[in-house]
Amino acid sequence: MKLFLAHLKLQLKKTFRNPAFWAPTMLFPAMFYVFFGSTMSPDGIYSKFAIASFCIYAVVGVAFYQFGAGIAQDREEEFSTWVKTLPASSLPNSLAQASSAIILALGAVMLVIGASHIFGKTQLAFNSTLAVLAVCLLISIPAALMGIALGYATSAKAASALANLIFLPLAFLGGLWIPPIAMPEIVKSISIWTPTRQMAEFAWSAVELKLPDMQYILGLGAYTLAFAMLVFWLVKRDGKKRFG
Amino acid sequence: MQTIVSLNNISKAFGKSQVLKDLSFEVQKGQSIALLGPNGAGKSTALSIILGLRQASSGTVSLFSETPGSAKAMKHVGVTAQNIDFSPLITPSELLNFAISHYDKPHKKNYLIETFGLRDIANRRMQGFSGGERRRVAIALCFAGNPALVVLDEPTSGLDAKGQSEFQTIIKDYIKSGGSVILTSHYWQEIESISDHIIMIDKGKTILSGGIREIKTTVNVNKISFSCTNPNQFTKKYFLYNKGEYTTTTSDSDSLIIQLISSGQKFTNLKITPRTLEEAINIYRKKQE
Repeated sequence: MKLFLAHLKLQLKKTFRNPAFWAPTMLFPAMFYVFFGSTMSPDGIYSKFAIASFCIYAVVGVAFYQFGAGIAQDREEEFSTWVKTLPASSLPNSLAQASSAIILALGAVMLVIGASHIFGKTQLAFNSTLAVLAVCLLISIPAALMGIALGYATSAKAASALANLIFLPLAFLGGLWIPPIAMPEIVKSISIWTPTRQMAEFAWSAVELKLPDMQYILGLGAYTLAFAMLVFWLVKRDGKKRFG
Repeated sequence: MQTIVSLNNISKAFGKSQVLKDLSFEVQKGQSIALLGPNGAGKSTALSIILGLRQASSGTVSLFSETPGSAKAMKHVGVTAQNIDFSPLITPSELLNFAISHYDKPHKKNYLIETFGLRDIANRRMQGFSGGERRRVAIALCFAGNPALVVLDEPTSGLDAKGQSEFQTIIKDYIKSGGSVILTSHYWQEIESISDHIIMIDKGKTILSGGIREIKTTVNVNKISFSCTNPNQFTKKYFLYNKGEYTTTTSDSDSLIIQLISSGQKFTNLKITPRTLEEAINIYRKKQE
């Protein structure tokens, strides 16, 4: 516990003393919600879906930038090699990284929900809010795996650029920016295959306090398994390369 | 004597490139060893294997009778890497707190700040720190856990002469108090000042291993030089003319000087200079070959 707290403290200081890093990750989802989601008509369900969508956008964003870019940078720093010479397993450091990402993601999600109360024409009911938060926690697993895969697959320089290149189209295709119903047919047919769409379907179902369709449960499960296997292979490859 | 590091027939290959070949040596408690060799000789790989950062392709390694890299082994070890890069957003004081939290019996933070000259910079974020300041932080972190062994990879590169001298004093005191050192350095004066034993690696193999005193005693060669205007036959036979001086090397300077005087050679500026460690090692190696 003592070591976990020491690693977490250092991780949080590194993160929150760098506004160029945390500000876009935390503020953009709420800002985009205000621009695109809060203007939706309060009639119908889509204005509520928008709140859930931008919560998912916040979680995936943190995963890409905190895990993806962060891990890629750590891998290239001698400091992380020095940390490995300290008398501790890698567990406190990994847990601290995950916890720091959860804190950041939770902050970003709360800002979206806060923005919906200030700027939105409609808000989520208390139960729906709790359900969406639970979904955010659930989808943080596949999202984190995607981020970790990115962090281990690329260099620090490439990671940020690649995160933008993958994250923004995935967010759009997954229906996090505009609801699938408003998408052109071709985009709609691609959308159902994207990991972000599986995540969004969970969040939208949570708004209505129901389970998503089985295809999305299976879809998210399959993506989680695939990303876990990819991460396992990439971490092993990296370990062999750097410490083999 | 307690063996704290033991490498037995360690080999390491990266693909087809064989970096270490049957490398064996031991470090005893209180010993200070310098790992020497040209760039690419395998020194850093050997250090990585000792610290458990890399796995040997074959052979066995133990660190404090434990598996290298394990928490049980590493709680006795302090490390300073060659090019450690610190986050510019963190202060030395925060980093020391972080390091200290990993050990059972660490040094007090204030002791580390005072000993390693960090008082003025301890609470400043490391953005804009000079190479020397970063180096001092790295050395302080290395000693944070009050280690029984310190592994110093090029510890003073980036330090000015004063910093180097202060560092050497600290390490000598540390050795006197029973600490052990594994050092790599390109500064011969530093190696001679700190180490009592050298292990020279080239192309992954140990090419020389021995105590510094033993090497210098075995070689026992001095450089003799003098100036003169009319060299006689003896001078011409035994000395080389170079930049206004006649020079030679000998293991028996007393006898040579007596012969020089007996030959009737008139001279000025007679100098007897002991060989540097670097020169002594070269001669020692030639003798061994």
